[in-house]
Parts: sequence; structure tokens; C-alpha cells
Amino acid sequence: MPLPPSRYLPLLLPVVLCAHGMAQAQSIDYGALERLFQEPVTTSATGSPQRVTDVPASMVIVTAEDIRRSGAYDLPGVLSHVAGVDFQQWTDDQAEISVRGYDQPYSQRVLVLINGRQVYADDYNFTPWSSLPVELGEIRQIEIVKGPGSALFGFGAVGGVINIVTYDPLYDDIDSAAVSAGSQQLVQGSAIATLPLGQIGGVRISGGARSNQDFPNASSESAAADSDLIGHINQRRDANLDGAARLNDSTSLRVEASTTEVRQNEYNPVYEYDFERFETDSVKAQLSSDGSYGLLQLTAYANRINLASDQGVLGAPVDYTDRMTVLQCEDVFKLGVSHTFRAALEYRHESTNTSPISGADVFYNVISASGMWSWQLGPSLTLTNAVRLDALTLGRNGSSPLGYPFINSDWDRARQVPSYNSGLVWRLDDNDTLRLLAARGTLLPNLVELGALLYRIPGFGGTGIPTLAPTVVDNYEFDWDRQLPQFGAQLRTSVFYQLTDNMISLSGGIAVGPGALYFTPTAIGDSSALGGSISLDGHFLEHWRWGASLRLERISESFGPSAAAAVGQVDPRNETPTRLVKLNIGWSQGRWENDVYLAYQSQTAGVDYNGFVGTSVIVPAYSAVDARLGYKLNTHLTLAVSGQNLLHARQVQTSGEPVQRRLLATVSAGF
Amino acid sequence: MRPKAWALLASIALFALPTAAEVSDTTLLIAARALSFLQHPLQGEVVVGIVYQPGSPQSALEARQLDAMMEDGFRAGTLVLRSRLVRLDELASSNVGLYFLTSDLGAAAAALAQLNRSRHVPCVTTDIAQVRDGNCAMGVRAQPRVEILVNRAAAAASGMTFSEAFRVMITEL
Repeated sequence: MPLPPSRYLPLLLPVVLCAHGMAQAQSIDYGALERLFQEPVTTSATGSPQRVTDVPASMVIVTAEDIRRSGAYDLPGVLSHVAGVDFQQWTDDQAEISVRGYDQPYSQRVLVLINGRQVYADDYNFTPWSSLPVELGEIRQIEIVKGPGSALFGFGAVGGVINIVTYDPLYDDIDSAAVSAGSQQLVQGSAIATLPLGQIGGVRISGGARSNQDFPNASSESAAADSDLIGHINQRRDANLDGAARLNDSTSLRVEASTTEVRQNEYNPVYEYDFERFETDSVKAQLSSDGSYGLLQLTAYANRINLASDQGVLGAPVDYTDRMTVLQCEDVFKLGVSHTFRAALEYRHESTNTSPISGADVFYNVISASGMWSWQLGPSLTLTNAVRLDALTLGRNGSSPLGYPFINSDWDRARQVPSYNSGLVWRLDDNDTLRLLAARGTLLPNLVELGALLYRIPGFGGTGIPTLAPTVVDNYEFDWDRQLPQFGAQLRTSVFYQLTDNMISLSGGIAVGPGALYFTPTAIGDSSALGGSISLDGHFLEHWRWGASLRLERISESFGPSAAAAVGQVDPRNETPTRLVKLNIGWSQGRWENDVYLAYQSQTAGVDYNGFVGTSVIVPAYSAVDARLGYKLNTHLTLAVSGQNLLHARQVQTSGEPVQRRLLATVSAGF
Repeated sequence: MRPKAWALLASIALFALPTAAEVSDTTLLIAARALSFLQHPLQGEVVVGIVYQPGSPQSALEARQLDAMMEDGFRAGTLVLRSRLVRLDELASSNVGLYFLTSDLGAAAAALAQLNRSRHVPCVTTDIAQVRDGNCAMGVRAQPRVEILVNRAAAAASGMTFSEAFRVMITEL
């Protein structure tokens, strides 16, 4: 018997709507759903709206309240308190966030997005956190998915996904301002204003500026090789616009635009300090629809991320501009009472210029199709399967230096890269939930590795190459969550095994051209990780809150001889702590609010590069304490003092410069 | 097993409610908030017909509790709920914007389903059996975890169409 139209029409809707436009739309009201279900709601696990306790993924949600209580002045500072999240502080304003290890400068394995828009930079496959165009006060929640999420988000989501969700001006009226001053000559200001437009919608504008100097003078502890750090003034500025309009009862359009400019000390992927400049611009439009055909979204956005350094490569300045254009169309719909589907199409164009030698662009186009099927198998049992196929075509246009070992047509390559996420969620009773998860994530070589890097000096040169294959990460996991209502607490446990195939290093390979030898990136081998985590958090005695977590992880490497030749090589086994502990306790009563956070990580090793040779440096185990004390002056004004790394004036936490104690006073106003 | 049977089992597992009447402010708030996800949500002041069976102590107790909660108008966003007690045998003459079924109405509540085929008035309850039997469209539970159950056939008969974002997050049968 043929299927009735109601069964198959939803499957065709993404195509139909992309072709003919949309009739009705309404975006997801996170606040209303959270108030209804009394827990955070997310779309970052499957693309479908879900309660965080229902998702087929190991997920943590950092709320706006958590952000305020963190006392941090930037996003990595907030994320450093999250159970199981790896954190490396390289300079005052450069910190790296990893999920499930594989720590390194310019951490590659966590895809970061703001409202679903990628802010992870594909030129180096990393997230320049300071350049993210968002103020802490406009964030509703930060969704942290532990484990691969490529079947939903595509390349880059191998270790985890962090989606920063801001308030929606269609529903949320947020007005606030904050001014901070502190050690390292820190001055920071932030302002957020929402202009409600009645039934039409609303517009939010936000902006911020920061200035600080983390290494004003050479100190006895500063190595001479790190003199590149001294005397620079780090600066950050951003401006953002977020407007939403209700076109009819069930129709809305959201437009976001942003710009940021950052200058700051950085520790780059080859373990050298550098004073770098980041400039980003973005524009995004999203039309959403909620009707009998499902929950539809049509999204288009464009990003420009410029990264420049005067020191660059062997003294030659580098200046990469990464341009990304993305078109997405998706539909989430329910068939019958037990089956939820998501169907999506995506087109992406991305290009980066070559540098330090300019004159060419390396680019790729990716067409992706993905689907998700969530099937309620039984009373408390849900099976979710998601698959995605990314079809990539690589290319290069422009000029090449004389004697270059490649021609542009060497880049004319196509790859089809599949990924999947599968999860069985079994809600045993009101308190216990089990999850069995399997996933494959994929990580493209970054555009620098694919050819944007291009330098030459007499005798030799360096270049990215077109032949690198993607890194593939398979993750197998078992989770058990248990609510402990008698203690006002919840227990979360996880055991995972990860296989990483075809890891890439920025150096270690050689290509021989007619005129010179070129150093190139190379595939260095495979690795595996076995780990587990346990966390407890809760409340007691009405005014107190607490949390404790332990993450254990051991990484094994199976690297070939090319790894030994790599300078600034990837070394996850030694750079990832085998033990990561986080504790926090907080108290609120009346006008006062106080939180203390402790992080401990076991001994690691890092690379210190002196310009020619990288040497392994032991980083002893350490404990660090952050704290915040807040006092509400009245209904609008709050005064807070906070600090990071309070135990020591300077503490070795990486193979780079010691991390300094930081103190901060903040006056904030909310209306 | 047929999908419908699974859904029935799901409703039983998810809504293993205690037999004693338990209607709290939170339950009513959850119900009111859930109604905001109707494609044509209730707005402003809505008279809620609290349907009860005078002969049942449990039903009568629950009705009194609900009536007290809405005595001065129960606010949830832009929605204000005002109560009107409706005896089961008065259903046909009632004129309300929303029905709230108390527990322990038994098979007599089927009268509401028949009535709604022509009136299309939304219905909520904490008595999940009434949702399973198709006498009421939506069941809610607030503790220990918010659960919402919707009988699609009863919802259609009541003129209740929910947004897809809401549908994918609840249990339907």
C-alpha cells in the first residue's frame, strides 16, 4: 500500500522550502521550554529540541547563573570550572579548552559555535576565544557536548562541541553593563541593551572592550627566548547586533551581525610566543518555522576571520584571512507518536589565502546531507541514530613561487567523509538514566596544513599539502546518571574509549621541488584514549551549593617515524593530564554570594621551542584556586571581587610562561 | 508490539501517579505553561471548568484545591486562569474556555469526550487514565520530573494543535 502523503511529505520539505521559500516560522523559545520542563533545553545533541536529561550524549550546560558566579572575565575562565573540561592558560588572554584531552596550543578537537554559527577557525582548526563576538552577560547557556558530534555539526566536532546560546531578542529583554579593573593593568567594560519592538520583535546590541598587559617587563623567570612577550598591550573590542522579528503568529526571522578586533600575546601551534592580531566579522540570517510540516530552519551566514602576526614564520609576517559562507536547511518533525526525524542539507565554501608568500588561495566546497531518527522503542527506551555525509572538493588558485613542488591542479581532489552518532538512552526510573553511545567524528586538516602555509628562504621552504586525509575519531561510551534527591544532588559517571586515526602534525614531512626542499605537514599516526569521569553536584542547607569531579584518561600513541621529525609535534599522551579534579563550593544568602573553585591536574609535559628545536618540558602537577565574592548593593547594582590562580603569584601550568595570579573588581548593573 | 501499545506502556511507566489526589500550584503552572505551546494559545482571562464528581471524596478534594488556587486568578505569563466548579452531570450546560478534570471521575468522564466533539474545548488533567482513555487531551505531572502526555486523538477533538518543538519533547499516544 502506498504511503499516505502525510508520511513522506515531511522528508521532502527541506528541499521544497529551500527551493520555494518558507511560509511560516517560529524560533525555539528556550526560556519558555526551560520554565515548562524545569531544566535546560538544548538542540546541540541531535538538532531536535530536547531536555538536557534526555539527550543521547554526555552533555553539561553552563547557565547564565553559573557564568555570573564564576568570577571569570572571559569564556575560557568560565569553562575552566566545568567538570572534565581541560584548560591550559598560555597567556592572560589565550587559554585552550579541550574535551577529553588532546591538549595543545590551538586546540583542534572541540568545535565551538555561537547560536549554531561556527566560530571555530578552520585556518588553524582552533578557537580564538578572545575574538568570539559575545559578551558574557548576553549568554543564556553554554552547551558542552563531550564526544564527537560530527553527524550534526560536521568537521571539527571530534572531541566535543561547545555551543554558546545567547538570549533571543524575540523573547528576552536583557539590559546590563559591567566595568572591571584588576591586576595586569586590566580594564574591561561591557554593555548590553535590548530594544523591544512590541509585537514585532526586538533588537539587542552589545559591545565590550578590554585592555591589559600580561608581561609589562622582563622578569627573572622569563626566558630570553620569550622576549616576544614583553611590553605588549593586549586589547579586545567587539560589537554585536542581534535582531529578531515576528513576521506572523508563527513566523520569525533572526539576523545577527558582529565584529571583533583583538591584539594579544599568543602561544602558537609550534610552541612559540607571538603578538597576534585577530579580526572577525560575521553576518547571519535565520528563518524558522513551526507548523504541521515540522520545525524548519533556513540559515545563511558568512564569517571572516583574519589572523596576522608580525613575527610570523622565520621572521616573515603571516596574514591569513579565512572566509566562510554557509547555507543550511533543516526540518525536524515527528511521525506518529514515537518517531522524531531531522533532515538537513548544507553547503559550505571556505577559503584562505597563502601566507607569508601571498598570491594564491586554498579553498574547499562541502555539500552535506544529514539525517537523524529518534525512535522511542519502549516505555523508557529511546534509540537515536544520526548520519552525515560530507562531500568535499578541494582546490587552489593563484600563483606559486618558482621551484614549488606542486601545481594548482594537485589540489583538485574530492573526498566523501561519513560520520555518525548513535545513542541508546534508557530511563530506568525517575532517578536513573543509562546511555550507550557510539560515534564517529571527523576533522579536516586545517587550511594552513592544506596549503595556506607557504614560505621560502634560500635553501628551503615550507608549505601545506593537498594530500592529507581527514582525522577520524571513533568514540564508544557508557554513561550512568543518578539523581540523589535525598541529598539534593546528582551523580554523573562516564566511561569512554576513543580511537583516533590519522593524526596530523603541522611539520614532519618533506616535499622536494625543482628549486628547493619544502617542509610540510604530515600524518604522524594513530592514538587511542581510555577514560572515565565521575561528578557529583548539588545543594545543601538551603544556601549552599557544591560540586566535585574526577576525570581519568590515559592516551596511547602509535606514531610513525615522521612524528619524530615533527617540530612542535602533536604529543597528546604527555600533554593530557591523566587525572583532572575539580571542586567547587558556593553560598548565597541575602545580598551576599560567594564561590570558590579548585582545579587539580596531574603532571604533564609540553614542548618548549627555541626557534630551531622543540624540547619536552615537564609540567609538574598543580592546584589552582579561583574565587568570587559578590555583594548586591541594590536591585540593580552588584559589586564583586574575584581572582584566578589565587594560590601563587606565578605558577607553572604549561610549558610556556608561568600563569600569574589575577585579581579583579567588577561593578555590574542589570535592568 | 504495535506502536500504540508501546505508547500506552510509555504513558503507564512515565505517569505512575499516586492514587491520592495531588494537585499543587506547580502542577497547575506546568499545565498553564504547556498550553502556551498550542499553535493558537489561550490568552488573557480564561474560565477553567474544574470537572468533579461530588460523590468522590478524592475528586471533590482536588476540585476544592484547584478552586482555591484560582480563586484570585492564577497567572502564567499572559494567561490568567479563573475557576468555575463544574459537576460531571452539569457538563452539557457548562460554558468555559478550558476543562481541568479531577481524579476519580471514572468512566463517566467519557461524557466530556463526547461533548468535545462539538465544542472543541481544551482539556488538562493529572489523571493519566483519562488521557489514556481519550477523555482528556493532556495530562501533566510535576514531580519528581515534569512529564506531559498528550492523546493526539483527544487533542484533535478538542481543537488542540501543539507546536512541533513542543511535540518532540513530550510523550504522545
